[in-house]
Amino acid sequence: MKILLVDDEAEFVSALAERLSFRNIDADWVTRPEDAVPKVEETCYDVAVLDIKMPRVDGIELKKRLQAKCPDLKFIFFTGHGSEEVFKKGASEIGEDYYLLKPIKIDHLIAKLVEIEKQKGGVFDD
Amino acid sequence: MIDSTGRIGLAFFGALSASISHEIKNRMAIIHEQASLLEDYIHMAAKGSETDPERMLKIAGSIKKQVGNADVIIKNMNRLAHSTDDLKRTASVEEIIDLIAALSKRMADLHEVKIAAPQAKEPCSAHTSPFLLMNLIWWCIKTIMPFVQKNDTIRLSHEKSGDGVLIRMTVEGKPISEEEIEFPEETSILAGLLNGEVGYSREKQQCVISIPAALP
Repeated sequence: MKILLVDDEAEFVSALAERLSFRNIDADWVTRPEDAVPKVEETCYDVAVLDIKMPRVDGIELKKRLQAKCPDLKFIFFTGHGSEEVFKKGASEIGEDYYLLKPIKIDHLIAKLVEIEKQKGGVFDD
Repeated sequence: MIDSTGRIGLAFFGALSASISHEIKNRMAIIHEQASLLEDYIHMAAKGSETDPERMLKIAGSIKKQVGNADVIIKNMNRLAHSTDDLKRTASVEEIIDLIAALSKRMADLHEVKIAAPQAKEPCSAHTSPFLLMNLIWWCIKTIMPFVQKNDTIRLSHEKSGDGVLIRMTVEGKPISEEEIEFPEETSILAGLLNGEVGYSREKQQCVISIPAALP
């Protein structure tokens, strides 16, 4: 499984990618939403994990741009917003199942990745 | 029933509290991720993998840096909270500008705009309401922010002017048309409460707030 992580906090996203690599998940990462589009053009990812709140381009808008380039790409979103209201709004747009709150529990994220892989009919080799 | 002044103050305090909580949560998420990474390395070392002390130190350094960042955010939050202690007091205008510039950083980051508050050549103080003045500066920054181009800077400065103080917010970069900017009623209400004035000069690319050196 190959995933792309997009979050404007480099120290967060690089550590998450490294931790996923220890669990045999190949994760690339970028900190600028604009850089995610060329990454998707050059590499065929299974899942994009996007922060909702980023400068200029939010996660929802980025999803549309990435989906236009790669229609089969699946998405998981995360956010640092703690408010229940923001969570409900985001979840209603995206689906509660694939909307994770920071700090991220890596087992929770991996469970979502496995779920997506199964839906796609693939085998997850953790 | 809350009057318009109370509503404006609460909206300002609420917006900044939400922004601060988001910033703290971001720092905590990074600390959590870096600490978890350290944990992973320790588990791997326990299973016999070689450890790189330099790598461990780098992770620990990242955690300490984020704790430092969170500490600054919380200190600023505390200063904001205490700005409501007195209805009016003699305060350093430079300190007020520094604080509101720091508290507006997240808004600026989301617009990819920079906020600069360089040290004043002749710092001055005013007998005023620090809370209302920060509120007014914040509204001005919020109003002009959407018109400032990516990577351009809003520079905050102040100077003595006759019996008062002028606070300037200068846009450094692509010019903004004055017609584009419509200052909301909050700015005129706040300027009125401070016995001051607020306006935008297209020629100088500046939003200017003038306040008296002392409120009666």
